[in-house]
Amino acid sequence: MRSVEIKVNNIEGLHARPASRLVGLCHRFGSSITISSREAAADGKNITEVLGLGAEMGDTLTINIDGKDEAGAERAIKDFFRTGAG
Amino acid sequence: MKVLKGLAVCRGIATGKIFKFSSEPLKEKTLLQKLSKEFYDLDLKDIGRIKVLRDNLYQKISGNENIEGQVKEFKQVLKQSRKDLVSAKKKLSKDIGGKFSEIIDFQILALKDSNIFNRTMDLIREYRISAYLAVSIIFNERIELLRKNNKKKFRNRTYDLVDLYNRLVSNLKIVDTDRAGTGVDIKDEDLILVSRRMFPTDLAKVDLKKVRGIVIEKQNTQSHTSILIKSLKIPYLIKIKKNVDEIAGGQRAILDGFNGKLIIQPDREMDKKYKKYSRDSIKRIGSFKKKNKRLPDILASINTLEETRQASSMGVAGIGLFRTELSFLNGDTGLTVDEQFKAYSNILKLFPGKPVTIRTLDLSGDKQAFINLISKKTLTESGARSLIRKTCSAQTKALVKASKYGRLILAFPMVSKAEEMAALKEQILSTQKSLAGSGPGIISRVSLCAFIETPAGVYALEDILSHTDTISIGTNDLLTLVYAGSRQSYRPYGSDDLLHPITIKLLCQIIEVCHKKNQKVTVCGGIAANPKFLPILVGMGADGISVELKRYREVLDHTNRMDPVKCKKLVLEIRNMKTKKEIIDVLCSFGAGRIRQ
Repeated sequence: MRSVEIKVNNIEGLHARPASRLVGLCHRFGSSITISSREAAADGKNITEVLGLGAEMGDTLTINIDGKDEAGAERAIKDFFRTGAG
Repeated sequence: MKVLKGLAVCRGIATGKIFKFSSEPLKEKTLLQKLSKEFYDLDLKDIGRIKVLRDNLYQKISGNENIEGQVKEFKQVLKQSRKDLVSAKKKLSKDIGGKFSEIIDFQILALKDSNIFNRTMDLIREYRISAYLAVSIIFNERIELLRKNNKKKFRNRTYDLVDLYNRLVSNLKIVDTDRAGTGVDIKDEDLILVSRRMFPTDLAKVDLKKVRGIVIEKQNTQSHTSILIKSLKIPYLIKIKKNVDEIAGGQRAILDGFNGKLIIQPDREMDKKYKKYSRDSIKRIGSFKKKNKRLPDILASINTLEETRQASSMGVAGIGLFRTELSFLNGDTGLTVDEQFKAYSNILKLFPGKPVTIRTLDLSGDKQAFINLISKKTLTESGARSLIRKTCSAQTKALVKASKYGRLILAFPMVSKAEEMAALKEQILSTQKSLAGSGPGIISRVSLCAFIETPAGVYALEDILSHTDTISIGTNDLLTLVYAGSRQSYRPYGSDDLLHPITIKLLCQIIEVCHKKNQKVTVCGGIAANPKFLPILVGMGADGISVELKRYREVLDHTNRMDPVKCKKLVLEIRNMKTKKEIIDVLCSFGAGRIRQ
């Protein structure tokens, strides 16, 4: 299991389009992915839950990845946020 | 004749026949609210115990076969809905553009949501209820969750879920929720779409090519529907003070997106007024330079090839800034010389005889991130550096090659030192020389432009001018750096700083230095379209003002009403002022900021 802390760097936060892209990315991996922000947690493959986090620019997300392809998933998620979260 | 007032979201004038998009009572208003009141507050376990409910739709289903029948139907509906959404996305992508059609992705992904998919099936089986009731309960729960979010932009996404809910219920064929247009013959060419409320996928049901303007009674500016409509760049009105159900379809109407009015069955006088208005605005665009030689050219700031086509059909005076970054990201062009050459020559061909400023890649942000994104790979630092070098070199070559198709002004971002500009000029000259061998007419004169966006660039301006033909001021970055703001912020520099004497002195200084060396200056960035700042830019003697396409006509109209002599006097008066307050007082008495008359 891997755990990464990532800061949302998208000016609009994780609103519908970036959230859709993130969830689409999570779907590509078999690992289970949980995204937590403040006190809420969401299944990374669940768009309504991810959107429900209401993550805004500057918020820190804790992402837990557990599964066979966790290394690839971690790299892809880090890249996603590094490149401006969509 | 009836005049209805509303809130103008997109400016412009449109005339056509009213096309009513049916606004039946929405399910969120009926079933979902009823569910909330009647039993959603109860514990879910209680649902199984409820034997008789007011509506027979809520009745429990008997027999395992029937229950599995409901599950099967639900699965089929999900499949059908996904198919519908994919085709809606394809249509919107064609009509509006790929970037905007991604809005539909939210709904496509929501169908994969285990909370919706699995839990609906669990509910059907466990409580022996219909698929319709289970879907309604689950959606109500999801919608309520989003509604509780204290941020409006997240709350707005409930509309997308309601849109999806309507689609599922419609496909369950229990309630006919099919929404369609009425009121006019479909052959009519110019339509003004009027609806009580519209959801993003509703737009895919309309032939948008025929729609000249849109009026929606219940809508906000940040909803996905509004985002899609804004991208169409047609007059768009919301929150009209009238129940649209009372407006009959097929009537002739004028939509005034400047003053927020929908005029139904206009009388002759009104017709004449608006005809004159549209004739005048066309005339003004055509004879703009002849009438006011001392006024700046209003140019368009563009990001994509799609926008260049819109700009060309609008008849803009030229392109003040084409940012090339996005064309790599959205697939308008690839990384090779040939791919880029094709894209840039197509742009130049759209504006024969008009200046087209194309800025090379601005990688002042995160270079590695950008290159990872366009190469769709995670590259090492040295790999990214190498690809950047290759891409930039290919871009320069492609631009020089494309220059024979129009009046290309090749611009370089963030120029801060004279040596930097000299090296870039040298690079262009050597590219021209190497291409000269490729055949006659392969190269033509390319004007070079430096983007002054850093304080260092302002200090080095006199020396930079020895290597350029024209200058552009990137005011967003320049003011951010001058006032130590953050590029990531919504307001990179404080609104207090916009009219501060430092801003005025800084821009006056740049324009004066350039004019002394007989070089033209174009002002780009947010302040270029700011109505308060426009008379100041005119007074400073800016040769060009480059604004986003959606503000083009507005800024052009506003500038056309200005007297360059009065504006010059205004700048002479304010440039030596010490405080912002003094400047604002003078501007108020000058009448700056009033766009609408």
